[in-house]
Amino acid sequence: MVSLAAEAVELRLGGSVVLDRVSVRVCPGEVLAVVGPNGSGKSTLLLVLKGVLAADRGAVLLGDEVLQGPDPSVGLVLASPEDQGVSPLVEDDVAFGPENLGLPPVKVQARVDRVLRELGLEHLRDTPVHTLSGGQAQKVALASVLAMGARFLLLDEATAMLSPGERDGFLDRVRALAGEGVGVVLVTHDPEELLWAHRVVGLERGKVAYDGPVGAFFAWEGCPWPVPDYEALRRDLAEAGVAVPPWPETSAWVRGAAAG
Amino acid sequence: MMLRARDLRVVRRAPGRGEVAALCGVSVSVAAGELVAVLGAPGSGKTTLLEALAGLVAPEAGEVALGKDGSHLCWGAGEAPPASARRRIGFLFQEPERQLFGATAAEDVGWGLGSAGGDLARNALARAGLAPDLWEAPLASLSRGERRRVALAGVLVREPRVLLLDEPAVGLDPAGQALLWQEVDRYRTQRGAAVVVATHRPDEVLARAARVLCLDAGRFAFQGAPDELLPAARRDPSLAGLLPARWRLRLALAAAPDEAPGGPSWARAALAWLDSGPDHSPPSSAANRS
Repeated sequence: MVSLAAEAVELRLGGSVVLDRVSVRVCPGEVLAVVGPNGSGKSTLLLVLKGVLAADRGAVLLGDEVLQGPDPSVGLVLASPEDQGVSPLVEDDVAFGPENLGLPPVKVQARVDRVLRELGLEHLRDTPVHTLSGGQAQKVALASVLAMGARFLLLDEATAMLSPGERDGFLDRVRALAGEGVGVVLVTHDPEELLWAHRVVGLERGKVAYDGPVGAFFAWEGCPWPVPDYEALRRDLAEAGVAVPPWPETSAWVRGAAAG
Repeated sequence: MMLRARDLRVVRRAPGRGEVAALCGVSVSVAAGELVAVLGAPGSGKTTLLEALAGLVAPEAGEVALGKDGSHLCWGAGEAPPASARRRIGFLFQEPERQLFGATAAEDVGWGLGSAGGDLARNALARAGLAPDLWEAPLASLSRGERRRVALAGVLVREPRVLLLDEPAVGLDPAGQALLWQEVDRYRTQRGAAVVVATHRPDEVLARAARVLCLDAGRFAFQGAPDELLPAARRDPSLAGLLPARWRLRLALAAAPDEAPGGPSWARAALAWLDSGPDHSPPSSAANRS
């Protein structure tokens, strides 16, 4: 089983230690949430896992191989979607990645059509990228990375500019990809997003301060958030002997039923 | 200071797409000390509305007025706001990188403030929660959330009377979010600033909003008090995707308990649990209201 792992990674930027012996592993099929205060090293960790920043010490392993640079099997969505567009039109932008993987045009088109449909972007197909709103640009960035068919997805606050319903829809899709064997690292400041994760890593000042299950994270003394409503509901009803399905099993139904 | 906009129409032109009405017939009124929340899917016109209120895009029709009775400073179709209006408006952009230009946080925030600029900047940066050891660090070395704190300090240090915030909490950690709202509330209640917030995270604004506007393709899909939003979503399911998770769960449980994954028994218990909760109506608390 090929996992993506930072092993005892140390990184200094501008004289200060940004990552301090950080070891984090994401396995195929796993959604790993990474949380922590501003400046704790979350985005830097993603850049190291993608291979665009090299560790001063330690290594990033993709399976048994030491990552020497960006690998096409690892997809990254940046926090600022404007930094990510490469082509003038939405459709070309989404097609750029699969084209550069050397896929035949028919397969490229099929992938582009599928991700545009999944993210509700079909009507923006011919739209110039520079005229998109922030949230639309974020959806295009997500579509571009999904179209690559990456084995690992690194998402840096990638849903922050989506509406609540769209956020849920995208995370349902992420969870489905995990079901197909994709490993996902999800950097977030939104406690509700943890409900889609299997595991949480909490960073503090460049160090791993928590690495464990989601439920226990909300009870951890360093957790900055109250328990999300659905998790609180699950706990309370469990005490009363009523079993509530995990959120990822419920989310799609809620989206559909709430929207009539 | 009061902000009032009437029948705003903004048209965007894009190559190959002709003219698209980014805003159509939108009116907003924000009294001194009030906060108005703007919700809507990406591309629905939230940012365009804030830009029109700030005079950064000129409307094709309609007018914006600013003043104690909302009419002292006025501009209309094709016009730019007078300089005295521009000085009173503070705008926190969606991407904080767009509005920073200094070499350091202190230089950026203190720019143009004269000899007192240094002290004012440090005070504002402290209030915005930027650690003192970062005040003189190169801006490029700051994380996104840290830069957002600098942008907030740079806006508030000029003491605007109208505050336009475009997804202000994106990129902020929980402590940063708490500080952001503390500062915005202080500004609003103590200085009487009129505040308009565009956001995708309704939980953070519904408790403090006097009114909520929902936009869909540049037009109003809803306008009213926060506690009118959930009933409106029962009548108009297209609003559901904009609501807090708790409300969407409630809508789904009430609409189709028999189809809930895992069977209907938990669905009925969950609905009762939500009904018995302390904040079963809007996610608000008295403590958050001014």
